Amino acid sequence: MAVKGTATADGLSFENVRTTNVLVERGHLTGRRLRFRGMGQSAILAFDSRVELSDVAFEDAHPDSYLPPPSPTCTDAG
Amino acid sequence: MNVRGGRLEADGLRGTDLAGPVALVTGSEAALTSVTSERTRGAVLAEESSTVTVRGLEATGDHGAAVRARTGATVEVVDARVSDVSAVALAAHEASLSLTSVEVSGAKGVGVLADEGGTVTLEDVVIRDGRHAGVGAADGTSRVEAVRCRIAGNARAGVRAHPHAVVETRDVTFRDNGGGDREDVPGPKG
Repeated sequence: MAVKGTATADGLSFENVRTTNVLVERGHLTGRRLRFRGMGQSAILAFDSRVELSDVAFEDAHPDSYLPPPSPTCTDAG
Repeated sequence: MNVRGGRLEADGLRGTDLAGPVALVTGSEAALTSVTSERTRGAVLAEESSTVTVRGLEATGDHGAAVRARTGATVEVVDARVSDVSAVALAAHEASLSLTSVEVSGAKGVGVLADEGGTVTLEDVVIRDGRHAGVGAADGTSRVEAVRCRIAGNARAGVRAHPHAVVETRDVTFRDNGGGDREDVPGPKG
């Protein structure tokens, strides 16, 4: 789903979508009661937008769904 | 969720078994309320001068810092419980992190870490039963200010800080931390 203007999403479920589930570009997304499960990439990817969410769940992402940014040299374990 | 630029407002975010953070905020403003993170790479990763407020956070078993501020971000966390993170529990790297009414327990890494010139402010914070230090200031340009806190039962030390780091404590109780209340870090990263 791509949003470039204004959109409201209410009560939607996304399952096993391997690409970005919701893309918002210079738009305004209002999302309520959304469920994302088994994502392959970002559930919601927003650029220069206004995003208002309530009651949103992200679950069981694919293990390769996230490429972390370069980590600071201090390790996570301290 | 990945927000780059613009503004995010969210009430009731839940992340479970995620490879990344629940919310990655880059160069944006965000106001988050009632965030739950369970076995994710953290609830919030804020970077590139983002301004983020988090009111109400429950994070359990995350495999990355529950809240991490980087590269000029300013993050305020109010009313949070963070438990059993298998890494640093909360961190500011070249960024500012403010914690108020927060309890951190059972972290495998440092409970709260300032690094790379990061600034951490703690008020009414409990950091207990971690396997590393309760609070860390990893280099000489990092700063920690703690007021009305309890740092107890952490295996490595209460505070582990670079000798040139600024660590100010006021009305802070240290108890039963292995290695003592404060341990100096000889190198820049400890």
